[in-house]
Amino acid sequence: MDAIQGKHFSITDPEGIKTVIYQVNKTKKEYWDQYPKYTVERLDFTEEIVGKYNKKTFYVENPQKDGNQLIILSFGEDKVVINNGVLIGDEVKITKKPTPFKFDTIYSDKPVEYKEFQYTPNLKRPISIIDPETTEEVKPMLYFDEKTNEVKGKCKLKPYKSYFAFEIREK
Amino acid sequence: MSDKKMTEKKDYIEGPAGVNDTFTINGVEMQQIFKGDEEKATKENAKTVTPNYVRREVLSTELAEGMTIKAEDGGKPKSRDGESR
Repeated sequence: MDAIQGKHFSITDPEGIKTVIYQVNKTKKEYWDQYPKYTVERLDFTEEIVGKYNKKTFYVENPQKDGNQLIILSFGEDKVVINNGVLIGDEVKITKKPTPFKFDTIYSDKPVEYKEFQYTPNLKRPISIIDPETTEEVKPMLYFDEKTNEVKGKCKLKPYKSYFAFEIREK
Repeated sequence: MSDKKMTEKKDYIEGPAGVNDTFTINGVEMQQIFKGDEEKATKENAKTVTPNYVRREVLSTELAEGMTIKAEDGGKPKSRDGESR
């Protein structure tokens, strides 16, 4: 088995915590009028149970000389802690104070559809919606808007359930 | 402890380890194994064994500004069929 060139690092989740990490990608200048300037891409990982802990090893396939910006999301029972990091050289440095984000249950007596957003061909969407219980992304349902002549995406949310959504915005 | 020894001890300490200092904490379980019914440990009848150890990893709940996590070379291993595992 050959390993792809890249870097990897490990973070251990204690019981009840699930961590996922996204890499922030820059859009080429010539596409700025069509796509958001920054998008996110979830990092692949492998995991190993060690006692009550879950050791996760995350893989960055294209480490850059000037660093790879990372978003580290650690989901607990009713909150998610957001950490910013950058992979540069042989280390990941945590660059900002961790931000805890508490979410309340969204109450609704019927399923609601999330707002529409533009679909990008390689699924690097400007908005990511995560089910905090499974940490899986809520996949969009794609459809063709004949009025605007674009492929768009819609997400359906379950009632009485909390979700975590985030997007990257230019400063 | 003599004044000289106390001075020597202070000389080699630079200061407390800060947030930029990375280290791991390794715990080891130690046991003294005695031969036979001996209760008093001597070099001949006792030995130290380490049946268990724990390694303190970087916990996701303890990430803090300025902290660093070591990254190593190598992307995700591919499986035999060429797909990433």
